[in-house]
Amino acid sequence: MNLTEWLSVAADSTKEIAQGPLGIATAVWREVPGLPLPDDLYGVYIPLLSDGLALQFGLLAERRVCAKLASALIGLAPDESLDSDEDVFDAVGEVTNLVAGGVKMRVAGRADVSVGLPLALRGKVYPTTGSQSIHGVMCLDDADVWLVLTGTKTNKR
Amino acid sequence: MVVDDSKAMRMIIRRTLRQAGFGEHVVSEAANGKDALDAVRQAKPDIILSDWNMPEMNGIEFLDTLNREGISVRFGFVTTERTPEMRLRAADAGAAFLIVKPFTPEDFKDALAPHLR
Repeated sequence: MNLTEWLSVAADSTKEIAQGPLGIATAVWREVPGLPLPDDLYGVYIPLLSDGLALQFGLLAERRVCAKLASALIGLAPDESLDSDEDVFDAVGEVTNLVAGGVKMRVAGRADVSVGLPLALRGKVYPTTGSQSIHGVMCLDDADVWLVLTGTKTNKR
Repeated sequence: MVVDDSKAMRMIIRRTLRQAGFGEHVVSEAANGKDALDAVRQAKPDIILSDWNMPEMNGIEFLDTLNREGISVRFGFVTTERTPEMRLRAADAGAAFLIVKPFTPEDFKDALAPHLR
């Protein structure tokens, strides 16, 4: 599988999680070739280790969108919100974990994937020598969420 | 006992337990297998609901350690891990069930009813 196929699978899994446990009505995927990632995004990366490929899947958005995703997962009322970064990114980490679980299930038979532990960050990751990165935008109702896949080939067979 | 490194997920599992009709049970929490193991050595819960992927000590290492120490307690996974290989590994280690995230109250009812009154 190439990175584009992995990203497409991640988009499908994100849609399922958005429209399932997050209760978001519309989820529209947009490929955005050539459009750079915005600089000031927050979010969570989670490792997806496969045979011969070390991937990092990132789910990134503006801070207010991350808070919205967190509230949706926990099921807060519209007038309630999570204040602390720790609570927001703990919940976004769980959303990312759910998406990663869906990716693992979808590629079973084509790739044997181990899911790692999530890491929250602000900013963006720059691919280093030997790695590639692609991204796209999932529009969840009126909010953009950027899905990022950074991959490095490994020597593992 | 609910064991999950995500505070949000522990909160969701508590709520789902209530929705599934198990609200009368006292629920304790731990953020990883190591902390849970320390707690179980002190007081054995009726049942453990554990995530699989956690820092310090993951869920399957936790269950293996319980087995090794001869601590017999009902144990189920609540995890995104749902491949046949993972289900088999969980069953081989003695897990009574595996609930896949995302889950519904009905999933909890079906899995826990045979083990909790």
